[in-house]
Amino acid sequence: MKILFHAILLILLFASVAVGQDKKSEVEITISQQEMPDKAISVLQPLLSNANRVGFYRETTNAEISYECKLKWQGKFFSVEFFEDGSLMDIEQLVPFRTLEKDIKKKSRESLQEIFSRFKIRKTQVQYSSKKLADEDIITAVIKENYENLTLRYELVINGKSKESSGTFEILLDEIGGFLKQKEVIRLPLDNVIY
Amino acid sequence: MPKYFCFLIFILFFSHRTQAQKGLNLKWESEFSYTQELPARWSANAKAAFRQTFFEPSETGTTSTYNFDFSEIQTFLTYETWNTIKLSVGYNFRLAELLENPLEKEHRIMQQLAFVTYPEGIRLSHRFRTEQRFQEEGFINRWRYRLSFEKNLNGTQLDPGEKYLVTSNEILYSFNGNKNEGENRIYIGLGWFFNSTNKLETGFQYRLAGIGNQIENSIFLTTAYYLSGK
Repeated sequence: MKILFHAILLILLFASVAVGQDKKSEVEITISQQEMPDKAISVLQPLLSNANRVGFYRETTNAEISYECKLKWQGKFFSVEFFEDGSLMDIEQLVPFRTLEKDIKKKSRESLQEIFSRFKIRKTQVQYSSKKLADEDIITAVIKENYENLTLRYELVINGKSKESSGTFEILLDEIGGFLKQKEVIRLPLDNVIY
Repeated sequence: MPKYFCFLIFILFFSHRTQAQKGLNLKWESEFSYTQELPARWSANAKAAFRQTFFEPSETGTTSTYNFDFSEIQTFLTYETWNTIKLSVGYNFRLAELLENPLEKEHRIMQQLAFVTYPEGIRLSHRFRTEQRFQEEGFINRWRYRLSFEKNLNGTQLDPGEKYLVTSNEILYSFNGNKNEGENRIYIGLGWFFNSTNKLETGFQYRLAGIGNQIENSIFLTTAYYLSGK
């Protein structure tokens, strides 16, 4: 009896491994500062010199590599993303949704209401980028809160419910809160904590 | 964060030491779980579990033994209402004392509410469950609440091929017309997230059972394999 039960368990385990193999599509790993592109570290210097809680990450999405630095600078949380060659992609700053300007909040809610019957905003980030400025100047502009020559967008992570589905979504809004695009966030299975 | 883990480890081993004179049960529980997503926010889960005892309390302390305690099958039907809140109903059938004759059977009906929050990149899961257990010696109600904490060990998100740490504490209260007792279960485990449909988790759980009656200490080695169907 004992041997039989062990045999059944082992068969189930091996069968599940065989059935469930799938391809990696997006992988993020922690790396050291030395593994970041030199150009990226150079651009980050004004923030790094007075930052704490600094982390460096490399993300591989379908063979495309990008780098990210997350840090806390003067009480603000930034996430700075770079292309593989170390040039700046954008800077994201974590902010409470309630601190956005009244008109932007209103328009953002309207944009979300067009897609979801019900939603809850879990995370808000202001995204800064520029095609006009050099990478170092973008960082300086963000530090000095001089947003004149920057493109501002808002990235929201929400739990949303519509007629068709319910889930977690990443929503990108333009500078006035108008909808640009959405991406469903793949939720990790909860089976180990709810069953 | 490290303080939280140190506290849990302290509780785990301190609790063991204070009760060690009464002897310990040392058990291994293995599980295989399959969850299938269904249309319109429904999902179903089936789980098989097996428990064996390798050491048990005796007059001299802890004595080596072997017993195949039980095997059980559990099923749940779950509906996600809103904002990660999941409502479930389930049924569990347990066959106990498999090497003995006659076999003991238990039927269990379960109702559950679970939800998850994500403060600062970690995953906090809350699970409230009520159970009605129909055993051969009688009927028992059980209420339980479990708080689980999960953190990936690399990067800011859990990616395929990475490991994660999970700890939990669960409080249980069993009662019927004749008696009632409490139980506490502390768990710390390590998980391997192979890909979006496969993961393996192993850990240690300390159970302090029979609170209010006769205290019983057990340490479990747990292994669980989770398979998900999309």
